[in-house]
Amino acid sequence: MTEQELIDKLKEEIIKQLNLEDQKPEDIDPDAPLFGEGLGLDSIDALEIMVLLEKNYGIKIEDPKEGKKIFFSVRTLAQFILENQKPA
Amino acid sequence: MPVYAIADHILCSLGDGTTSVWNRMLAGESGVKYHNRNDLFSGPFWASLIETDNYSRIADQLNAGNEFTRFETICLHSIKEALGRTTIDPASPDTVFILSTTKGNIDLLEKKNQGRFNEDRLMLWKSGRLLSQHFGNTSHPIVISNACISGVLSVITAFDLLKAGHFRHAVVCGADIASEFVISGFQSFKSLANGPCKPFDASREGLNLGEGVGTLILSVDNEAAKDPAQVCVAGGGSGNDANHISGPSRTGEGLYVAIQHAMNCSGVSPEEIGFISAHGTATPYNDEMESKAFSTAGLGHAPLNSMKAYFGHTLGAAGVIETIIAIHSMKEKTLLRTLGYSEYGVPEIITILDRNTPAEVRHTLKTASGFGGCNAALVLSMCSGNHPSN
Amino acid sequence: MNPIITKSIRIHQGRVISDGITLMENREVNVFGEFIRLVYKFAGMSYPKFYKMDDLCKLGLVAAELCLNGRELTNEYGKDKIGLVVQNGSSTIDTDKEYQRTIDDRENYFPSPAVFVYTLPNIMLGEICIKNKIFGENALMIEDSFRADSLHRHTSLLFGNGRIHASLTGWIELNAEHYDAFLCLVESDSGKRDGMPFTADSLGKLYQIQ
Repeated sequence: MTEQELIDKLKEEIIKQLNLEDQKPEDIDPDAPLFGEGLGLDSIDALEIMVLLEKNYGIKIEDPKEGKKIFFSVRTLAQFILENQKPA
Repeated sequence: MPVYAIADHILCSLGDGTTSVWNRMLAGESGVKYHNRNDLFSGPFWASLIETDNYSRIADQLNAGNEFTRFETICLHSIKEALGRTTIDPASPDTVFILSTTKGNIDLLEKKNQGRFNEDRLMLWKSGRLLSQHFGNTSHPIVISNACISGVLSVITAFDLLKAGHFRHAVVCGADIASEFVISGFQSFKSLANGPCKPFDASREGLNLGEGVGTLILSVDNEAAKDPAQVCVAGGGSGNDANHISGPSRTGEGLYVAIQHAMNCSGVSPEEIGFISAHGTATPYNDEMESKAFSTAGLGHAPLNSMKAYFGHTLGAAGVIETIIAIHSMKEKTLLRTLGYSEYGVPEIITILDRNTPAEVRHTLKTASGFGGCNAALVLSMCSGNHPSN
Repeated sequence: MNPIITKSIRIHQGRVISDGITLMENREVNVFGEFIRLVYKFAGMSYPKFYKMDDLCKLGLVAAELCLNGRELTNEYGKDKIGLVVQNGSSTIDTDKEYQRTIDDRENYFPSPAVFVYTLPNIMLGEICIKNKIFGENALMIEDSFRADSLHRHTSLLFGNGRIHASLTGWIELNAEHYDAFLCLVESDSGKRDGMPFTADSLGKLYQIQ
């Protein structure tokens, strides 16, 4: 999967997992911050994205502090997955 | 009319009976242990659980026919023990039962428990009714389920009802059991400490869950106590952070509001508070928030402890159990140290008890904070003769 | 000075009723999740967090919005003098079951924090407080059904000792497809507003006629 394909897939998954019903995938800028002013996600969303990573990609983040960098934007998240995903 | 704390009982990891729990706390013992129980969680965890021997003994006495759940069994036992220290008639319409719990019989949702009981046993109103009816009580029971402040809120509600003359006696029972539901939930929140918790400490990293039950009996009639009460409930109140449903307020505003309500209601001023029994879950944000609220409320001077490292966070039971221990601290003239605490780790100046300290306290503040941004505060006062000290 | 009820809202059986008058009705939509979205839109709300809440919170939040009807109570009474006194019957049973499903199977074990957080009935009070900047008293009591007498008694105790000057008081229940929200705005009587006397009888009548 290319980075772009993964970004598109992640957008769909994030909207579904976090119940962002008022958002469309094309509205999410892959480089905009997910938390704070960007998509306005909060600490529960961060925990939920960790569940998503484990469930859909088999990647476990043990230290929540680690999440900050990885969860900065959809692109950083996609890059992290590509670097850490074990071959299926 | 004073509202006396006339009798109590605690069952938790540190034993069956308030005296036994108190003595083990005085000795600095912790009931928080490492557990590897596949029925409660998929991996090992640290928690404070009622000892199997204690539970089996109680269940054999009370629940030989397996007609009650674990939750109901510990509640019935605790209420019976506390009532035994009074002369009140639990069946009288002058007596009201108040149940405080977050999840009650939640373990009945597990596959292995399905079909053992009627589905309505999951309902918390059913639990309240089952308990009050067991003691022949005909008043409509009150069930409070307000997250981690349920216990303190139940004591406040009992006080308000007695003060207004609706009842003469209130049996306040707070309980929650350990369940996979709750343990996995807190784990998913990354809130659990990987070891005994360290309230207000610089290296605190999370909480320990606990199971337990506490029963506190309040009465306007001190004659109803087998040992006359020495401590009265003086007033309380609650407040909301209006900030976030799971993260504590960064400013402590909701807890500050609750403290103000408790102060106004009791007529006690911050300078008069000689001891604070804080919530102190040992999560980084909670303890920080509490330090801010206490400091803003002018309570930085008052010696303060958290009891969470002794018997964990007992959720719906916490406010009741910790109020009972606070009452005993006043009676025994001894303030317990904050077990698990060693290095100062909150932003505002508060007075954390780091050793057991003799003290004659006239007024105590008990607080709690919980999910949903809720906070509650309660003032306890030494009774002077038959008159409250305020 | 006795408090008065200045507004009431009931949401049940496909209808939204205020002080006895039907504001909205939709009998075609049978699924609660769809119905409450229509009510949300009817209330003119724009609050993205709504979509993240569980159904009980959605019901409570929308009921509070319609009951407040644009009033900014915090300006009138002080944000710490407004309380929420709410009864509920089934606690969070639907969300409890949904969460339990995420942990039933050890081979497919993904406990969801976003579901777990909604397994406490008072989270609904928290959501209402956040949306409306209410900092005052909270009480969530579980009853087998709407009980006007205990609801009135508890709210009156809080008014009586000055801890609240206004409250949202009512019954908010959800169990499977059965939903029922009844919320009253109760205020200290300043003589400036019309309302029914706040009694158990009034509460009972308002609930019944709607």
